[in-house]
Amino acid sequence: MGDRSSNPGCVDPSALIRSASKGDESAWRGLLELYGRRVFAMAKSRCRRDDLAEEIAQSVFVTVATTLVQGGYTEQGKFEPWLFRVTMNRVRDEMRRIKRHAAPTDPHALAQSNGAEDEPERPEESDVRALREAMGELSEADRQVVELRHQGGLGFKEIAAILEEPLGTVLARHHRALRKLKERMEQGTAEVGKRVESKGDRR
Amino acid sequence: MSGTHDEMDAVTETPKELREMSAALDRLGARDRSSARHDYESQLFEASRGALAGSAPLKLVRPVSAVSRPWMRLAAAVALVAGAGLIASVWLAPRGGGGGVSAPVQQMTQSGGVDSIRADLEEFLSVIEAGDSWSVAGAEQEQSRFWSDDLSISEESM
Repeated sequence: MGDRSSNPGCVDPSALIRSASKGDESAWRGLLELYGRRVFAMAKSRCRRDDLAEEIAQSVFVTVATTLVQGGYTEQGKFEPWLFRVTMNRVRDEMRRIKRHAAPTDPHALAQSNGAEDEPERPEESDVRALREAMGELSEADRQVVELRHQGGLGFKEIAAILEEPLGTVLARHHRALRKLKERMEQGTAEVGKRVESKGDRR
Repeated sequence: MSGTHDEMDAVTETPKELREMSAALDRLGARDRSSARHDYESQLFEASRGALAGSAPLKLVRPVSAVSRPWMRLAAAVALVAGAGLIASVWLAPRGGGGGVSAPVQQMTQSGGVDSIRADLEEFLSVIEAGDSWSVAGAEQEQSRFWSDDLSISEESM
């Protein structure tokens, strides 16, 4: 299951934050170990590109380091909500920038533009892509909850704090999003089944 | 990174029919987290350690142009006006016999100036009347002198 704990390796994040604020590099490295991949996954879920996700994560952590060292982080005990809020904002800004330049970021779209669409696809990739596409059809509010929960590995309380919503609202959104995704995936599977059947009939 | 559910998961039991979807999303999340390259954290550390040390340029901040600061704009405007005023005062300052740029004009428009202009004009007209043939003859003389000089130079050089 996902990384729901804010403290997976029995490391105290608040101690790391305190030390990192004083310029302690090993503490900073510890924070990167704790949160680096979760921030990366949040970014990748939207942009679907490793290089861009890395770039966004770098930008997020540079901002976080700067704020910590300069004493700008004052919300003790709310590091995770703050970090993921910075991440969400950065991802949103980047996606807007990409939309303005109208560059395809979906690897499938890129493959199509490069003429590689005939390449056979592994079944797992197809499932993953279908799930990502289904996520793309969720409303922004529902998608945020899903990404914070499953990509960011956050608990519902942290998600509620980040989104500044009541816990009940967050839970309801999560259930609604799961239901929509399930319906969409079942619909997609049925369509694929029909297509396979029609191909078999033609033969 | 293998995590555990938080305490809220026990409270917020995911409906049975949605558990499979929730698990699929968990797998997708884990896949995304592990898809970063193996030295991702080290690279992230290298990219951000400058910010931690406070030594590197921390963010892409657009440098504020000096001209965009209001007080600098004001100072530039004052300097411009002062410079223009200085040039104007030097240009229009009284010179020698009492006048700036407009002084000769003023002098000429006075009575003495008019008389001298009239005398000059009369002299000029008399030269023109007498001198058509004179000027042509002078030009011919000049031309022949030029060619003879040129010839003598070329002979010497040879």
